[in-house]
Amino acid sequence: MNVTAWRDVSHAEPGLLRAAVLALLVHFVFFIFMVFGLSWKNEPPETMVVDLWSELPQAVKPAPVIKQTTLKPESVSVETPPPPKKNTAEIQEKTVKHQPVKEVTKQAEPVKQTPPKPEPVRVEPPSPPRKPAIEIKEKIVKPRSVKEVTKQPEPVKETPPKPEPVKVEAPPLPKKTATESKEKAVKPQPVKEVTKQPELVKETPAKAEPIKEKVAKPEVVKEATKKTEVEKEKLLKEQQRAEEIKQQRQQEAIAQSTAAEKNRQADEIAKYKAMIQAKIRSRIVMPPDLPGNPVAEFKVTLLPGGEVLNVVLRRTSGYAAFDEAVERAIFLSTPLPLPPDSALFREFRDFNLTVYYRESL
Amino acid sequence: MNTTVTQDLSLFYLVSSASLPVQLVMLLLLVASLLSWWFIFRKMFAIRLAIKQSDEFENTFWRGVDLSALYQRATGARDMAGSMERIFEAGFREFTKHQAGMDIGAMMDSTRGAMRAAYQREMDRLESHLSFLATVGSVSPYVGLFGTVWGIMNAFRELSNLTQATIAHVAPGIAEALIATAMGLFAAIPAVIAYNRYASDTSQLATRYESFMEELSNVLQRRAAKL
Repeated sequence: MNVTAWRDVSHAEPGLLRAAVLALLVHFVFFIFMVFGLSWKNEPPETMVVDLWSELPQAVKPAPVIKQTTLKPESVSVETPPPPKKNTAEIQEKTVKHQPVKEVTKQAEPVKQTPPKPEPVRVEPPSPPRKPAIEIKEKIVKPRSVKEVTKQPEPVKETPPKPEPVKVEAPPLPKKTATESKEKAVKPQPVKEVTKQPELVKETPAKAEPIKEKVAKPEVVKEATKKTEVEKEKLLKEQQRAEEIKQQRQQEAIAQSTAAEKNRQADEIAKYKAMIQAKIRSRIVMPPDLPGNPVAEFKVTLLPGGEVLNVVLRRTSGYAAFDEAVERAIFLSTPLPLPPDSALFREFRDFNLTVYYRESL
Repeated sequence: MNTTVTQDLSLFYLVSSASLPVQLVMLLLLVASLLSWWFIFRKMFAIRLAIKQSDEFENTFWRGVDLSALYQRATGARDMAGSMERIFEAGFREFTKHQAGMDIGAMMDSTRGAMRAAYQREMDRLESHLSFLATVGSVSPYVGLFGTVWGIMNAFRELSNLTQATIAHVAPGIAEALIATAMGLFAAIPAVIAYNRYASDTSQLATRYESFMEELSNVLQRRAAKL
């Protein structure tokens, strides 16, 4: 029973572990509160891209009309509006990517008649650079499935040279199976629809024809394809015209907007001139009883803050008392109200101030 | 702190992107906060237990139980014994040692001395770590402030490299710097509250022990006179 024995015991403390757990719990709760309880700025501000359209893109409408096309074409058609140059570039890239695939498909699936298709591509070279790209794309897609081919028309839509690729394809058509002829017959339709022509009615016969032809002779198909080519050329021309009109409209719109801007600025300037006039007028101590309505004209030079730098009498009213009163008033009314838009200040750096003796002009 | 407007300002990001001194300050404050909360809970349990045990012992003591029986119980269950019980034990042991017809005054002096020593030990035990709470409560705001000042200094120094300074360039730096202050306050406020609370609790217990010591010495003195 010595003293040291119970001194050791006295240091036994209750709930060390419990205290530690509770301490951790407190921090955990606080941490949770900090993370979820407060609205931290987690998301970066979204960058907004705004496309200005003088009119609604026409390509959007046809998409729902084409029943054969799946949903994907719509999204494609929405993208189409940007300038055709881009598209060709994109398509070319795609073709570059796809070519190896094409070769693979050739080797792997000779049954699908892919070999005949590449030939037309080689024949085409004379046609503008865009076509080959489109052509190749179509060919790449065709081997996979018929449905995918139906999607293709959209990229083709935008590009004017479309008819020619069809030409090239035309010869192999008769040889090919009925389904392929169908595909080609379908292609012209999207083009028409894009241009929004009332030929929708015509298209339906066009559709019908290929079906008949499949049953009957391949020659009829040829004629039909020729017809469609002619139509396509027309359509393309119209499309181009439509684009030109579009551009014109856009330019007009820009011109209008700039004009509107000018008008607005003019309004702003007029407003602030009136405000300056009013402020100065309120400070004028009018000399009493001047005959008539004398007019004093001043040239006022302002600093950007609105301070009056200099006042020069341009045309005296004929009454020195009135002139002086106005000049004093101009200095008294500093700073003069100026538009917040600093771009408009140059209008106020040196401006003429005309003050009438009587309010009513 | 190479923050641009587009980067997020979540807690994790702000902490992880802070400069090294600020991060060290934050770590220090986190440790201080953890320790202080640990001591807060430890002291809470300890003081609560001490009050409870004192209540119980005083109850049994004033109920008129025989002192030697009480002493036996106290020595038997020493682990369970409270502070007051231990003071009693120390005093009574000293008292029984001297029973062989000694001078009462000297006997009571040594008994009081033993009780005083036990009391000091008990108080020392009760007040342990309270100084840590006081330190955390008074110092951690300054430490957090130091981290904040450092972070803001950095934010402004980076601002000087920019030709076009906007609030968006300074804001993340200041925000992450202010987290240090927030942590300092988070550590300090509970520590200060707990320190004040426990200081008053222990002083209350101290007065209770002291009065008990006086009463016990009176009882022992009467008992010694009877013998």
